[in-house]
Formats: sequence, structure tokens, C-alpha cells
Amino acid sequence: MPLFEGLGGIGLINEKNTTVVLDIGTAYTKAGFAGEYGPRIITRSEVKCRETGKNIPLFQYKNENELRHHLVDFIHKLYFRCLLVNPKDRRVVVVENLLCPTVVRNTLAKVLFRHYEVLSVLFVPSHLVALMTLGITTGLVLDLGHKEATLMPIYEGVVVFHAWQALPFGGSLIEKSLSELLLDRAVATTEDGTEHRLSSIMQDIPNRYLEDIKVRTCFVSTLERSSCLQNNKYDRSIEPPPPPPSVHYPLEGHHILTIPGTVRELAAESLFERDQDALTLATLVLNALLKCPIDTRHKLAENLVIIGGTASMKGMKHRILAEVRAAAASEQYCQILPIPSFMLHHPPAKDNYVSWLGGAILGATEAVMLRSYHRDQYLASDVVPDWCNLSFNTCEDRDEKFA
Amino acid sequence: MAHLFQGDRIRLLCSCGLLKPITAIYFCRHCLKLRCGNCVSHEVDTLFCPNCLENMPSTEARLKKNRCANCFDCPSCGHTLSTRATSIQTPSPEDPSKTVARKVYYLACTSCRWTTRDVGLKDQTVATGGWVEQDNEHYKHLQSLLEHYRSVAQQEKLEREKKRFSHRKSSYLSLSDKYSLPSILGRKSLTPLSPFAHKGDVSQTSEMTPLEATAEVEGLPEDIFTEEVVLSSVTTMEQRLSSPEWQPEKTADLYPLHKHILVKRSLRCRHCEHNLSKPEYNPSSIKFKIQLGAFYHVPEVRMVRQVELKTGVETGVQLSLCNPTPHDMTVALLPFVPEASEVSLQKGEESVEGSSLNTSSLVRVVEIPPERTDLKLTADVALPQGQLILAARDDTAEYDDQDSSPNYKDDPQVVAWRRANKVGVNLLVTPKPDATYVRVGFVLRYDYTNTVATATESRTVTLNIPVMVDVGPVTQS
Repeated sequence: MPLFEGLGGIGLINEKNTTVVLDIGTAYTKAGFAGEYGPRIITRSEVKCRETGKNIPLFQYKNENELRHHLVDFIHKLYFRCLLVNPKDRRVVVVENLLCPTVVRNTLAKVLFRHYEVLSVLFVPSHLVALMTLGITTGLVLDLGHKEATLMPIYEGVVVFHAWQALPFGGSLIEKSLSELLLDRAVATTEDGTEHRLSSIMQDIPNRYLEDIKVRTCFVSTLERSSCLQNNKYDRSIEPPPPPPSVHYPLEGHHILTIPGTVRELAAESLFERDQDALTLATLVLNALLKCPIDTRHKLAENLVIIGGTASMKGMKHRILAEVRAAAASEQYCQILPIPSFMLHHPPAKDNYVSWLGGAILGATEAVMLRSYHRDQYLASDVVPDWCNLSFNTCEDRDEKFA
Repeated sequence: MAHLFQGDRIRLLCSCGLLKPITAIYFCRHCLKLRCGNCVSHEVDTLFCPNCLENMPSTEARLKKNRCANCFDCPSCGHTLSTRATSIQTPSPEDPSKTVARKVYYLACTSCRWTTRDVGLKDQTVATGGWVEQDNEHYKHLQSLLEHYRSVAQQEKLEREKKRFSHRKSSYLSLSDKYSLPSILGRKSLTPLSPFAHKGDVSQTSEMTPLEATAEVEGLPEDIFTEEVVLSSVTTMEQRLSSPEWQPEKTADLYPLHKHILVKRSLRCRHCEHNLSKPEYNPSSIKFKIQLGAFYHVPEVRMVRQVELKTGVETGVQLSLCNPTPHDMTVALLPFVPEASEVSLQKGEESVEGSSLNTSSLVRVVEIPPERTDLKLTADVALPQGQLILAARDDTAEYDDQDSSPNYKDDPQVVAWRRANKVGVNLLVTPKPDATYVRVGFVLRYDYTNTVATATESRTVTLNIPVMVDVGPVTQS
């Protein structure tokens, strides 16, 4: 895309200030302007702690006050280092997870309205706007983030909320199992050439190395190989498939870590192993379909969308699709959920900023002006309208709107 | 590590409730209160490139996505790229048999040795401005999506407005319907009356083809199980995220990034809307047009030397007070009260006005939540009674041999020494029984002579500032 963009492509024609679009995730935050085709910045959700001076994750807080301080510092950095605009009197669109804790939502609104005096805030559901990037109105959106995987079916533009599904299967789970496998199997070579087991050198591998190893060397293997490996675990006589080659990874300047090929392949398997409730990513999709109305199921199954940073791991989408098909054919589901075909969409953006892009497309339309929550309204009532807050969502209100 | 202004030891209580060193606090001349970075509103003042120090107007910055057009950053390490030139032999345009030396340019990083040749970019024939931009492959589709949704939202807006008006008109129409048939026939457009019927010509919404789902997804590449991973050819997360729209996975796809520009911030008091700090327009100048730091208006407190403290033992601690203003100042040390800065006595003609000058009643202040800090004192302090006079700051004092100190009568118990505009004060500190670290607090009361006032003569106002001093650890006796 050319560095120069015509004026027609930026924001609304009537507004004098372009709307800011924020997608604050557990691991990474995407921030930019409405009407643009990519975020200006994707940065780690980390702040410098006011007491200790170290970098800590944004959502690691002891009480609400600490969360407020973190958000103030973080949004300051976003506006004055990355976006370079005045926060005052400018609209904001926040792409949020519908299952996000209320304290985070309310504190974010308080910080934006009181500290930064933004003109208005519009909270949009991340799953819903992800469909806007595809131009469709029906779809089953699976968001694989760092902390958890959430799924929402959307039919004709309406979120089928009661069919929500969530599991703590995200990037952090992959990193945790990677850490366990490495401490168990990996070998580190020191400067003088001696080899030691990693567990004898360090107890914990720092998170930034785990993330780097996960992103650069690990991948999700195919269903066939995975079932072979599983069978080999129980029955040693069956031959496992040959592992991929190992990688030499420099660690902290002193050691060279040899990551065995089996670790590269097995790290992501924790997302697909059945836990005690027999829940995996595949059952997530199928359970959601079971909760949806019968007539919608076929259409939803043909419009799967997988977004989120963890989904861009090599082989992830292929594996999820294969697992879903296998689970749908298994005896648990084939009687109650006879779905012939599952199809997957390809969003016109990298997986980690698809929902940001949806928010940016929405932010460039008149809908922002119609639906935003204005600063004056917030300051009068000090409350943000929420789907779980009945003072805003009663049947009488809904009938009034459409009467 | 010792700090020049002892920022970790001496802290002032700002009006928002936070404790900050004197270097991080501003003094609002109109509200006569202390403000810190937390309770002022920050604004973007000017934008400039940190490498070429060129100013950029905000409209241009918006178009260029806050990036400098001429300066580049290394995609591998983030350092600034420098343009290097080599000369190559090319056939000259006039005579193909003779070769002529011509200069070509490429970009190179001085810290990690990355060059544009590593990714296969051709060398440019011009020194600046030849590098082609990358294209977002989904540009056309996204543009049509944006147009489509804009028109959908526009329609929704028109519908809402029509609904608002149609309610009023519907009763009128029903009356005329009974009496005059032509009212229906006369309608040019046959838009249905019911609000739920499908309205809108499809031609109004712009065309958009929704994306198709596919049954098959690209799986793993075949050679992933056999090929060795070369770590230097795979990009790290930081390298990927520095160009968010392309996020290259291989280092061979890295492209030089335009340098991100920086801002100069100006600070404004929320209550009276006056600027507390305004930098100069020129990017290479470090001076300020307006600089209302507390260091220039509030007496500075410093600890003179480190003392050893023992529990229950009354130790003498020496503090030095310095007067930064060009007027004589009367100071007094009072017992610690956190709300002391709210009350300010006034000396001068008008007595009943409150503690702020020149506040506009039209400004509606958006209150930020007050902060609560730990203000527990762990030692008792015996403060000197009575007032002390600090001489005005005189910049010529260092060249003057005469000392003005004999003019002031000082109690030798209280005042240890006096030099120009500074005074050394003795305090007695007794650590409390269960204290491991001694924190002492007092309220500094001083006279502030205001040079900006509605009346022509300058007014003297007495202000109180709560101060917290970290004296040091308690050694076990």
C-alpha cells in the first residue's frame, strides 16, 4: 500500500478527527486508526510497574487501583509514542472480548473518559466484527488468543450468545507444555562443550525465550502423525514416525540449547489432548453447534473462521479442521450432529489483527456516531452499558427501539 | 546511587495524592497548587523525525502514517540505516562499448550489518527517495468492503431519521387517505409505509463480493519434517510486528522501515486550562517557552549528610532549604498534615476569594480519581519553632566577596549555617519502636510572590506543601 493515502480513504468525511481503534489483548495490543487497513502498531501488553520499575504484563494486578495505574500508563504510551494524536475529543472504538471481566471494562472506560477525556467510546464484540472483514453475516468465529480460546456463533449479524464456548487453551498453554518438555528432554551445551540436562541448569525458562522458541521452531503436526505418537505412548511396539530435525538455540549467551525434534512437534499437542472433561478445540466447535438452533447449524458449519495470534502457528488451522471432522464422525457426535461439511474462511489480514481490522472498518462508518457512548452520558451516570447489566437490556427497551 | 536532587529521598505531596520528587512536579501559578504528570493533561505539541530533526505538520504526519519519508530503520535490529554509495561500471548511454562509472546507493545498518542487498532489493540510482513501497495484497478487497459498510451505515442513519419523521406524518396521511384517493396515487416513490419492510434500493449500497470459504486449508509444508531450521533465517516476533500488515516470517522478506517520528508534549493544568510546560517549535532546541517546574518556585529541601539512626535514640538530622525565587522568603516547618495544601492563607487586599486566581467558571473540570499513597510516618520529629527568612536568589552572589548573612539574626540551635539563599536547619529525629526505615514528614509553609495577577501589584500568598523525607534505614542497636 502506498505510503500516501488519499483523504477519502481515511475515516469519516464529516468528522474532523479520525477515530482511534484499540484491541487490547492479554499478550499483544493492536492500535490504529479507523479506515486504515492495518494497525499502526502491534505491541506487547506490558507496562513498567510504578513501584518496582520492571516490565510486567498489563493484566497482572493486585487490585483495581493497580489496574487503573497500568491502563493509564499503557494508554499514555499508545497515544504519545505510537499514535501521536491528542486523546482529547476524539472517538475511540474498543474491540473487546464479550467474556472479558467487568472490572477491566469499567476501569478502561473510567481511564479513557476521565484521564484522557475522549469524546466517546464504542465497545464492539471481537467475534462479530471479525466477520465484517469477510463481508459475511453468518459464521462460527473461534478466537485463539494467548490466555484462552473463545468461540461465538453469529447468525445473520446476531451473536448467538447462549452458545458461547471458552477453554483456557491458548498460547500460554503451549508455552507451559513447551517448558515442561524442554526441562525434561532438552540438553544444553555450555561454553566449554560439556552437555547438561536443562533441568540441572535452570528451574524456569523465562517467558520471552519460550515465546521465541514457540514462534520460530514449533509447529502443529498432522492428525495422522499425532495419533501415531499417541499410540506409541501406550504401546511401545508401534513405530513412531521419525521426528523432525532438532534445532540449536542460543540461550542467554552462555548455553546452546538443543531442542529435540519431538519437542518441536509435541508442544502444541496439549491443545488437542483430551482433558478430564474430554474437551478439546474440536469439541468446542461441535458443542457450540449443538447449542445453536437446528436450522442454523449447516450454515454455521460451512462458515468457520479461525482468528487470533495462536492460529497463525504452522499447521494449526489444518489440524483444527481435521480434528473437527474426525470428532464429528466419531460415535459421540455423529448421531446427534449430522453435518456433512465444514469449511474455513481466509480473512484478508494476518490472523492476529483480524478483529482489529473489523473494528477499523466499523469505525470508519456512521455507525460509530449513532452507537457510541458519549462522555457526557458517562460522567452523568458513571456506568458503562454492558450486556450483563439488566438496567440497560430489558425487554421493554428493546421493544421501544423497534416500535 | 546518589541523585543530584535526592529524588528518591525527598518527595512532595502533589494535589492529586501522589508523592513525587521536586524534579517531577509542576507549580500552577494560577491555581497556586502543585501538579504532577498524573494530574495534568498531556497534549501533542509538535512532531519531528529524530534522525533528520525535521518538523512535520500533523496533517502530513497523518497521511504518512507518522513516518519520516527520508529516514529508514533497519528491520533486523531497529537502528537507523545509513545510505552508502558504490560505483559500478555501466555502459555509457552514448557509446555502448565504453563503460562509465556511475554511483549507486544502498542502505546499510551500522550496528547489525544488514543491507538492502541481503533481501534482494536493487541498488538505487538516486541518493534519497528511490525506495519503492510495499503493497498490501488485500487492498482492493478491503476498499470495496469499506465502501459497502459505509453505505450500509449511511442507510441505517437515513432510516432512523425517516422513522423519526414518519411517526409524526403517519396520522396526517391516514386522515388524508380517507378523503383523497390521489394521495396514494400521487406518491412518486412506492416506498412501503411499514417500518419493518425491506427498504432501500439495492443500487444504493455499493457492490461487495463476500469471501468464499474453502473446504481445504493449506497444511504443513512437506519439508518441515526433514529440513533443518536455520534460526537466522526465521524472523523473531519483534521483527515481524514492526511491519504489522506484512509480518514476514523469513528474514529474506524483511523490508526497510520508514523511521517513526517523535512528539514534543505540552502539559496543561486541568483546573485552570493554563499551560504548565510548552516546548519550543524547533526540534533541535531543548528549551521551553513556558516552564513552570516546581524547582523554580518552591523552596528545595535537601538532606545534608547521611546519619546513623537507632531506635528510640534522638538523632540530629540537617536539612538545607534553598530559595529559588528572586524575592525574600519566610519559611516555617509545621507538623505533617496531608490536606495542608488545600488551605492557603492570603496576605493582600482581597481576602475572600478562595485559593485560586483567574479560574474561569465556564471550564467544567473532569475530575480524575484521587490517589491514595502510603503516608505512614515512622519517626517523630522535633521541628524548629518560629520562622526562618531565606534571602532572595541573587545570581551575582558568587562574584561578591561580601556575605550578607550577618544581617539575619539566627538562633544557633536551629540554623546551622547560612550561605546566600540557602540555610541549613537542624532537626531532631526519633525513630519509632517498630520502624526499619525512617520516614519523616512536615509541612513546609512559605511565601510565594505572584508575578502574574489581575491587580497590577504583585501579591504575596502563603502556601503549604506536605513534604516526606526518607532519612535512612535504622541500624539495629
